[in-house]
This record gives sequence, structure tokens and C-alpha cells, in this order.
Amino acid sequence: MVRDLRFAVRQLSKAPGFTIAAVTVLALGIGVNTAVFSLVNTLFFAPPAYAKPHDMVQLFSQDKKDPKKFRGFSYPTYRDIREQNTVFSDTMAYNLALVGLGQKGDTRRAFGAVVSSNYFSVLGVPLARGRAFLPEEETPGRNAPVAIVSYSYWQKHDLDPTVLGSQVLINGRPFTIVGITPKGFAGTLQILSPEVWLPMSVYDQVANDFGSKNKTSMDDRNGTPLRILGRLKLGMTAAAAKPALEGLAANLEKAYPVAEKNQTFITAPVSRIAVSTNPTAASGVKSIAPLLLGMAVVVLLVACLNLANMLLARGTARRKEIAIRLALGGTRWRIVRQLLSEGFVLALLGGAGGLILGLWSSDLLIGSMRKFMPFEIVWSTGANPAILAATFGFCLLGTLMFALGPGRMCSDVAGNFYRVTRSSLCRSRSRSLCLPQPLCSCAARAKLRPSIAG
Amino acid sequence: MKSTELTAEESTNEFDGNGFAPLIRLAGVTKVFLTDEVETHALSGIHLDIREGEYISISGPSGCGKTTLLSILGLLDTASDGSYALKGHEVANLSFAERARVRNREIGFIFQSFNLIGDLTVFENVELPLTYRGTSASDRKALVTAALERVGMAHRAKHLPSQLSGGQQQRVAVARALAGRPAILLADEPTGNLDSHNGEAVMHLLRELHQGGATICMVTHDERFAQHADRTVHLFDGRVVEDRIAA
Repeated sequence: MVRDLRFAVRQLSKAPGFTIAAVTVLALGIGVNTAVFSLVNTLFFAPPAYAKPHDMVQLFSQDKKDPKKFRGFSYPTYRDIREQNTVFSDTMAYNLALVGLGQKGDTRRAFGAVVSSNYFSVLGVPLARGRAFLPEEETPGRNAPVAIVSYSYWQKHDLDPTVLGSQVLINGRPFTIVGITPKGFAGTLQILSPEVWLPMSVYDQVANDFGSKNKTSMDDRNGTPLRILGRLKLGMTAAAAKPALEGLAANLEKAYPVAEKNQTFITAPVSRIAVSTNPTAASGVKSIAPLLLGMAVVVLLVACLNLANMLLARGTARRKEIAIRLALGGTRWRIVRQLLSEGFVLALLGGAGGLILGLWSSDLLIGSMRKFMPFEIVWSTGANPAILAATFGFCLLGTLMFALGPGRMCSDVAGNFYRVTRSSLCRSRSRSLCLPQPLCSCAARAKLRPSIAG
Repeated sequence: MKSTELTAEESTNEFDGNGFAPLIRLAGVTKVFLTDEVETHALSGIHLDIREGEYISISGPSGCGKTTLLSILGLLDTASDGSYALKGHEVANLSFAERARVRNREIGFIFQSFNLIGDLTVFENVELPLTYRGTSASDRKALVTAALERVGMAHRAKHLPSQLSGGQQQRVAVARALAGRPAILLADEPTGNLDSHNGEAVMHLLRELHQGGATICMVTHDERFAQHADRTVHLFDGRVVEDRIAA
């Protein structure tokens, strides 16, 4: 195999025009796949940027009489659940709000997360700089003008250490930046991230109607603006937690028969892409993954078909060499393996180009999207092991797609040795001609059109 | 000179006069190329025994079937009918992969146009059949070096074929055929692309190899070179018309 690869490198280096064209075609095909895989991997498979994600669940409030109906939670209900539940080691609450962020005359829309004070501790995420919110900053109506900004916000300010402690205008009101989230942190979502986190106490000041039809005060039990996430106790499972949560909901219904009427609590895995009160809201989104990958593979397939044609043309020019190898005892598989090795070297070169192209184009796309999208995009486009493994996989897949067919066809010179090696004498004949050289001339003399021999 | 035309009875005997099976035995071999309207009989009922250590030349006019016969002997092509036994084993109906294996182990080819692979060095060209055989690297090195020394080309081992003269290329091709110590060397017009001086040198080399015990079957249309062999088989219109053993 090493010998085959060495010969492949030698062959390709002797045909720089072909190699450059082939690598470019492959780089485009593999690059698209790498970029799409990077997106799909981040969205659906990469571990989220918080601790022990398997222990985290989202709590949903379901209507017992109409199980398809769900709603959020009020702050008082959140407090009751946090204090009375027996299944979570801790719970936190949050909601997203669209806020105006920036200086006078330079205000832009941005997503903010209004969170309970234990938001970062429940997620197990230490801040890059500064502190998390204090319990007293959570109290509704206290209006604590403090904010935690994202790492990319800090990056936009050139990682200036004085950002911590400085003021930022949110909906025209000054907030003091007390913390900066770590790099790559996107809250509970993947890719789309809030740019600023605010304490629950300022909810009434900054919240808009995003995610709720009727705006109510934070301490109103009839309001339902919050989503609740809980970290299950050690050894606790979602199934085991179910009766306890149903009991808790029943107790709350007894205590607050109007506000909590017909409500029960269920858990579901934390959604990576949706902020919804309905656990089924994002259930169909995963089907996007195979669709996206399928579209990318089609691009790779088109690239491979182009390359297969190029290899076929090249293989035709090398039929004499292949015929000699077969005559010397090389089996067809051995010849195909050698041609596959050449394809693999091409695929590796194309894969390297595709990786660079894919990551570069992803960075370019994210950079351009950041300019006009109202949310932060947290997408690590670096070449992590999953991306490298996937790119290598695309190289292998590509090799099989573009090199196997031509390899098999070009190695099929059985019985044609003399026709191939003396092609100058039989060049005018069609591919189906299989006569040895002396008979070629005989056949020509007899004005025959021989079709097959051996 | 003794002239014989083999009959079917003689050729299909399992043992020769000394009680040994011949290295190669062709019995009733025919080769027919099918065309749209016509059957072209390239070989018709060839009976031929080649014994170990023999040096045989096959000659005849252009288009008489020499190369077709050599292709069948070298398992590069299959006969339309008849049997072909190599070392006592029937090989006419082997699969493509089995024929490749037998070809690799038992047959060494020397071609008119050398057929060296231009992108491989002299050493790598000679090494190629051994690589396909699965010979270990150290054994390959020893065998290739010995073969190149035998043809006087060891000093050009790192050169590419394009850096060699025609005569040198043919000597490398001989080394490639020899390296695997095959049962028989098949030479197809080995002097056809060489000037007379180099042609004589190659014939001298083949003679030396034969004297060293090699079995050689050479196709040539040049009577001068045919005389180098101990036995001359003459083909005409796909039939053996003369089989002479040098006195």
C-alpha cells in the first residue's frame, strides 16, 4: 500500500495540470460537505457549552384536559417549583427578549436573556470575567441595572478589560457590565446566542411581547413568561421524576386553583435550537440534518462524477501501463487498488483544500451574518476531531465514488494485451477490438470489423 | 536437422520419451476470433510440447499466429478450444486471477518493445513482478540485484527507462523476466526494436541464460535469430508446418 501511495504521488506530481484541476474540483465538493457537517454537527451532535448536559431537562407545564396545550411559568410558580421539588438538585428560569443595545445613535437590535440569578451556576458555567448575578438582583421590581455580556460582545470591543465595569445602554437605560461569558457559550441553545444576559429583576423594564401574547408583571402568578430548566439529582431519571412532578403540580393546583388549574409538569431534553413552551416544537427540526447532508453529498457526487470522467480519460492514456502490470502478474484487484490509491491521494489533497475552504467560507458566512442578524452566532468553525474525521470520511467516500468505477474499467484489458501495448498499430479501431496485432492487420486487409477475442 | 510435424497422438502423451511430463503441453489448441460475419481462425489444432531446459523458436510470416500462440502460452489470452498443461496442470480454463498468479510465478516475458513502465526506475521495474508475488522486501532486493547483475545493468538501477538505450532497456526487460526465476521465458521478437549490434547482444544473453538452464520460447520472424534456438517451430496460417530440432 505504501508503494502504491508513493507511486500515486509520483504520478500526480508528473501531471500538475490534472492534479490541480482534480484537487480543485474535489476541494469544492468536500468543502461544501465539511461546512455543512460542521453546521449540522454543532446544531445537533456537538456537546452544548454547559456542564453535564445529560442531567439537564426542561420542565413543561401541560394542560391535563388538552395535552397538546402547553404554557410557560410565572416567576412565583418557578420559585415554588425550585423550593418544593424533590427531583432536581437545582432549577433556573429564563426567557429571551429582543432589546435595543448600544450607544445613542448607534443602537441595534440584539437578543437578551433575562435569567434567574442561579442561571450560570445551574448550567455549571464559570464566567470568563466578572461575577454572576446576585440573588437580590433577581427580585422582581428591584431593577438591578447590571448585565453580563457575551464573549463575542467583548471581542467586538477588542477584549478590552475595561469593558467589565463599563456601562452599556439597553433599551436606552444604562446597565453596568458585571460579567463576561466564556468563549463559545451560547446559553442553552446551539449556534444562536443572546448577546447580553440580564437579571430577572429588570424583566418588566426590558421585556417585550417576545414569546408571550399578554405581557404581565414578573411577580404576577397568572403570567407565563418563563422557561424552567432543572438539573436532575444524582441517580434521578426523567421517568422516575414524573410522579413527583405530577404530585408537585397537583399541590400547586390545590394552592392556586385558578392560576394552576389543570396543569401538570413533564420533562423533556433541553432543546438545542428552540425556546418554546411546547416540547414537540423542535421535534421535526432534526430531519433537517439528513436533508442538509444529503444536499451536500449531491454536490460531492457531482464533483466526483466530473473527476471520474477526468480519471477515465487519464486511465485510457495509461492502458498500456495497466496492461503491462496485468501481464506481469498483477491481479485486477491489485491494479484497482493502485488506481484507488491515486484517487485517495487526490481525495486527501482535495480534502485538505476542502477543509480550508469549508472553514474559511463558514467564517466568511458567519462574519457577514453577524453584521445584520439580531443575535450572536456561536459556531466554532475550527478543525476539531469530529470535523477532521468527517472530512476524512468524505475523502474515503469520494475516493470510492470517483475512482472505483474508472479503476475497474481501466483494469479491464483481459485478452487485449497486444492490442493495448501495440496501440499504435490498432489505434484506429474501436475499444471493442481485441485482436492481437498481427490479426489487426489481417482483419484490416480483409475489411473485417472484428468485435471480440478471447 | 530433424524435421517433425507433431500428431495429436504424440502430443497428448502424458510423458515424453524420458518418462517426464513436458513443461508445457498444448494439445489441439485453436483460437478463433469471432467477427460480425466471419470466423477468423488464428490457430488451428496446435500440438506442441516444450520440455524443461529447451530453447525453442517459433517463426513464420506475419499474421501466421505466432503472437497469438505466445499470448496463449503466456496466459495472456485463452484458447477457443484444446488443452494447455503447464507443469502437468491444466491451465486453459483458469480464472483471470488464477492465470495472473500462474503468469506471475511461472512465466517471464520479454517483449519486442521492452514494455518497461516509464515512471518506475530500473530497479522498480524489475521488482514489480516480485511485488505482485508478495515477496518480502529483503528477498526482492536480493533477487532484483542478482537479476540486474546478471544482465549487466546493476549500475543503472536508479535510472528511469527513458535514460537508457534500447539495448539497455531490453536487458532490463530480460532482468525483469528473470528475477522471479520463472519456469519459462517467453520472448516476443526480443530483437525487433534493436539494431543488429544490440540484437546480437540480447541473443547472446538469451543463449547464456539457456546454457544456465533456462527454458526459453522465442517468437521471431528473423531466421538468423531463429537459428540460435535448439528447436525451431514454423507456423503458417495458424498451423505448425515444421518442427525442427538442431542436429
